[in-house]
Amino acid sequence: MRFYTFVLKNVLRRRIRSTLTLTGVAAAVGMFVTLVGISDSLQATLLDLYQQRNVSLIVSRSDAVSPMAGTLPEKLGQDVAALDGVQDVCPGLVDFLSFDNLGINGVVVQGWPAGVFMFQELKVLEGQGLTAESRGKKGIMLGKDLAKNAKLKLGDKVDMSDETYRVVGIFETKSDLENNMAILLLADAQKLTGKTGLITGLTVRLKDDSEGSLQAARAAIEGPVAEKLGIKGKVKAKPPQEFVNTQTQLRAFKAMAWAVSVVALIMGMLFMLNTMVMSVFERTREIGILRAIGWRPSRVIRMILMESVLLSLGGAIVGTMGGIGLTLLISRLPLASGAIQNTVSPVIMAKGFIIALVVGLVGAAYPAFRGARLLPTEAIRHE
Amino acid sequence: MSNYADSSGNGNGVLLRAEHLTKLYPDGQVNALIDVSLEIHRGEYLAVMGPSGSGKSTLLNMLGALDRPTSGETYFEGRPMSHIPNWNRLRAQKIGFVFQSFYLLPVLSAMENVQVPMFESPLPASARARRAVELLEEVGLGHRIHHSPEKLSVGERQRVAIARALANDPVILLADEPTGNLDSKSALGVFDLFASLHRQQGMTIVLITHDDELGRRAERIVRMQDGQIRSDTPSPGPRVAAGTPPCESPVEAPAGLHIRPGVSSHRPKSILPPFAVPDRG
Repeated sequence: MRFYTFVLKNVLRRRIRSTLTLTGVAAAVGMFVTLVGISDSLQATLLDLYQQRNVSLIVSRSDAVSPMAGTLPEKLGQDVAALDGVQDVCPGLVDFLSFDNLGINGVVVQGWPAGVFMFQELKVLEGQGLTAESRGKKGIMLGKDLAKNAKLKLGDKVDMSDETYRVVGIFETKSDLENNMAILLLADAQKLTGKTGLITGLTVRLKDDSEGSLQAARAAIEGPVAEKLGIKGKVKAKPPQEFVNTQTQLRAFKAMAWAVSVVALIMGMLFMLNTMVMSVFERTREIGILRAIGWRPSRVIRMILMESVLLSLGGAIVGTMGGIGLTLLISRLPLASGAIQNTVSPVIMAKGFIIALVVGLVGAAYPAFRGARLLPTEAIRHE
Repeated sequence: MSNYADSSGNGNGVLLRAEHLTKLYPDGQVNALIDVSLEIHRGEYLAVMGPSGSGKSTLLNMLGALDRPTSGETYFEGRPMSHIPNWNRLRAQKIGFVFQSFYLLPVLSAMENVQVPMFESPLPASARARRAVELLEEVGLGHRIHHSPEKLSVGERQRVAIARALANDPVILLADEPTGNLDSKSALGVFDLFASLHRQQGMTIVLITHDDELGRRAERIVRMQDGQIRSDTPSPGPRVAAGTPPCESPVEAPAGLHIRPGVSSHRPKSILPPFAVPDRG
């Protein structure tokens, strides 16, 4: 018999209690994997969108709580494009619109001017892209997932804000977020959202991405360019990573995800503590006997910690599987609209296991210490 | 001190020597042990007898490195125990304990129970398992190695506990009322096992018993009362088996008098009872 076999048998001794404890840890780990996983996934999806297009800077309104709120004058695009070191600029207007004739609400719609680099990443699967010739023709492009979910085909009509558009193209990109979006020409998007002459942001590509030119462009955009348009202090230019990290909604979600996870994990830890205290208390005499037959206190500690870690790692396995299942389910919900990846990253899983290990070790530390301090004579006095 | 032929405790077969042991328990200031001195030689088979509360178990705890005396000193193989830093190792390597209530772990089979103390030995898992089987065969349970304690009779359970006590090849077995929970037939079987361990392997055995008849099967009887040794005499031997007169005539002797191993003429002629014959098939 190996030591871990012995430990396993101890754990299996109280099956109901062990199962409950394992379930408690599993719930905490599952919650962590799902919530923090989704939060990370949202950030990663957004970051991916910009990084795939080699975007150097994202210009947005500094007081906007989301990329869709807060507007800037369209003129900003031309002024930024005129800066030294700037290669490309794409002004964009992003908002939610409804496909009224289909009863579909909350479709994310991007408005871009014809010919900008953002169009280059779109792979047109059916129909054609929006170009300068499309102006005034009321055409809309749909991401392939959106087209599939809305059951829309080329030439189908889409009613938005009392205007009728036609599907002229269906596209695919590497980003599931975009595959769930619709794209209009900027002027159409401005008209439909009532934001004439306004944009929600700019994506900027620089000629070289060195830190120096990045900082120079930032300073120029936030400084002189903004000042000229009378919006100094209200414009921020950020590299993609920083932009994603400072998104208020994403940060709020992430904070919430962590807060809920931490509470769940503390509860898991208390659950474990309770279980192990009970377990050690029940086995007072038994542990005394083990000490009497020569076990060192360190072996008693090891036994109790291993029992606890066994339970918590069992919980981590069950919880991670549950979290993967839940993430898959959530990613399929329409409201996820491609923003949530359907897989849990190995990093999150590894974190889940590490946290479970900590839950096990911390939860069992006190009982293990108490167990190790039991005197062998206690056992004999209990006769 | 003059009682001891070899006050250093080295050589001369002295395994354990207690000198002026006193134990006071803080609760109620009861004197559990008062100035007890005792010498135990290698290969000796000694029964400690006396009424409840006479200090038998307290003495056994001191001898077995389970508890520290309030004053006095115990020498183990000549070394003062107060100078031995690691009592765990001493207990693990040198001392085997047998308890009244067996204290086998219910979730483990007989064989696994015997292996529990061996976690503290350097033996690899396979060797531990082999040794456990050998020990169970030795105590006559070779046919029941995979049984859980609840499927064993009380007598068999105590045999498993004895095998467990022998796991790390100790130099002394300490047994606290080992037959207290056994019926008379099983008790006799267990005593026969102790006798055969003593006779065949020269195991040093100190056991506490209430049972006068069983106590007489040891070589030497120490009687305690009120925390003190009242008498320390060679055993008159079992009444029936050795044909000694039924009356008991303890010879008052100073503490520390001992019987050399193998010189007792009252050694019980015990045999393993039929159910203890190892099943090697």
